[in-house]
Parts: sequence; C-alpha cells; structure tokens
Amino acid sequence: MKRGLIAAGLLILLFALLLANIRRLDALLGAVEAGVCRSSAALRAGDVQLAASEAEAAMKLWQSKADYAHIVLRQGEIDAVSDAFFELLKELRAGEAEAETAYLSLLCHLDSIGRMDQLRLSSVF
Amino acid sequence: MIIFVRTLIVYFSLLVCLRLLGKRQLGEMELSEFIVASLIADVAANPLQDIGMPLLNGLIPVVTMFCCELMISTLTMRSIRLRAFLFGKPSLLIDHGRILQSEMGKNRFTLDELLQELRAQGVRDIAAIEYAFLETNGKLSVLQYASETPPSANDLHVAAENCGFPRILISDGRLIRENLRKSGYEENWLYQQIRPYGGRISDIFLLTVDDASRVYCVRKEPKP
Repeated sequence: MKRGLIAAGLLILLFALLLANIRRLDALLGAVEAGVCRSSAALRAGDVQLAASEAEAAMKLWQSKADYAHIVLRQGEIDAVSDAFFELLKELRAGEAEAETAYLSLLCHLDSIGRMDQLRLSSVF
Repeated sequence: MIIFVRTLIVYFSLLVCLRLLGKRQLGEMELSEFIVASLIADVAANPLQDIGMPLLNGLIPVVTMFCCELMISTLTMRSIRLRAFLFGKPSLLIDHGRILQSEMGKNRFTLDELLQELRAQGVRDIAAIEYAFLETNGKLSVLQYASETPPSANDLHVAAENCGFPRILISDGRLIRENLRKSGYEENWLYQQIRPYGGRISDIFLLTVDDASRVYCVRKEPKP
C-alpha cells in the first residue's frame, strides 16, 4: 500500500511539475513575443534602429534561457526560433522597412512552441 | 505535459486492448507488467537515438508508466474486483476430461495450442485431466485425476527425509562465506570435505551441502 501511495504521490508531483513547466514556458514565450511585437510596432512607426534593438533584446532573453530550453524543448524547435531571430535581425540591420514576413515567421515559431505543450485534444492526439 | 497525458492514454488503451485480446498473449507476465515491459524499452530509447530530443521526453513516460504499474499492482492486491476486471479470471478449459470449446473460443485458444501445452506438461490423455485452467498470466495449469498422479511418500507410507535445499559453498573455485555461515559449518569442516579432491578451494568447481549434511562436490576439469 505504501508503495502505491508513493507512486500516486509521484504521479501527482509529476503532473504538478509539468503544469508549472507550462506556466514557466508560457511566461518566457510571452516575454519574448512581447519584445518581438514591440520591435514590429517600432518598425511600423518607421524607427528601424529601435526595432532592431528591441528584436536584439528579445533574442538575448531567448538565448539567456538556452539551458532551460534545451531541457524541455526539442533541438529542432530551438533552432527554428534562433534562425527566425537571425533572419529578422539581418533584415533590420540591412535597414529594410518591410520585415513583416520575418516577424510572422518568428511569431509563428514561438506560438507553435507554446501551443505544442498545451493540453488540447489536437495536441494530445 | 503532452507526453505525460499521451503516456497515460497509451498505457490504459493497451491495458484495455490486451485485456480484450485474452490471456494467451501474455506469457509469464501479468497484463500491466507486459505493457510496461513492451513499451518501456522503446520509449526510453528514443532520446538516446535522437540527441535533438530532450532526455525528459524519455524519462517522463518511464516514470509515468512505473507509477501506473505500481499503483495498479497495489490496488489489485487490495481489490479482488479490480483484479478480476483488469487481469481477468482463470478460465476452465477442460472439465473432467471434457474440452470446453466455448471457453477456448472466448480466450482464442486453439486446439493445437492446447495440445502443445499438454504435451509440454507430459500429458498424453485428455481424459485423464480433471481440470485444466488457463491462468491470468497465459499459462495452462493441468490438474490430473488423483488416480493419474504419482503417489507421494505419504500415500506409500514411506518415511521421507526432509533435506532442505542445497546451499552452494564453493562456486567455480570461490568460497561463498555467507552460505558457509548460514549452513552452520566452519572452514575446517569444509577443508575436510575437499581433501579427497585435492584440498584446495580453487580446484573445486561446485560444492553444495543440504540440511541433511549431504555434500555434493565436483572437481574442476583439467584445462586442455
């Protein structure tokens, strides 16, 4: 009986840890997405310099959590976000005022990571 | 989180499916053990084969299945109903020499398999079987009529000595001191036993002693 209770406790603990992980990942992705959105807004306002610095700050935030990301995410997902960041920064540094596709691609990758671990029928099945 | 939920779904789906499939699929394991054994190696191997996958993707299913298995084994030990529901009940396949075809059909147990099991257990005549049960672990238990079973020492009114079991004291030239202590003998006694075989422990391949102090000793064969 004792072992069964320990197993049940462990399952509940695992469930709680995974829920906590979802919240942490959501918070990280939210912060990065907010930075990217600020960058996009700055670009729409015509301030390419500010857009580049906001995008860089968002990328630094993403990279500062690289260890955590490698523990909970697949390498392919991390690479996809990093590549999208580099693509966006390349366009912004080149002074291009039309970087909508790069923003969309980056936000799409971040959104897909966020949705991947959400408890939904579509992600479970 | 998705991996955790998926593991639970796959685990319980397999439990239901294999329960419906019948007992003969299982071999020597109980149903829940069989599921864990068949899934765990595959699941754990994924992050090893794909280094881009986090190790957690392999560890979470392993821990989840381990916990499920522990919980199910604990619950089934306490609840007869749950045990019957999850693992089923033994099925009577032969009753007083008569093969119960409907039970065979329910368990998808073919006549060939039945005869194969009976041959493996040394049974020649189905009519000599009082009961044959297909156990929940997929094994066939055959109970022959009392008239068909060998008589015991009690039946023959013969005094039989209980010899216990043989403890290994020397294995491949190595003395197992713990077994020597448990058997209640000293090393001097042991050396007396091996004196006829050369007197050196390293020369002995196997030496056992049982509760009736019967010693079995085999010397190592000379190397070619």
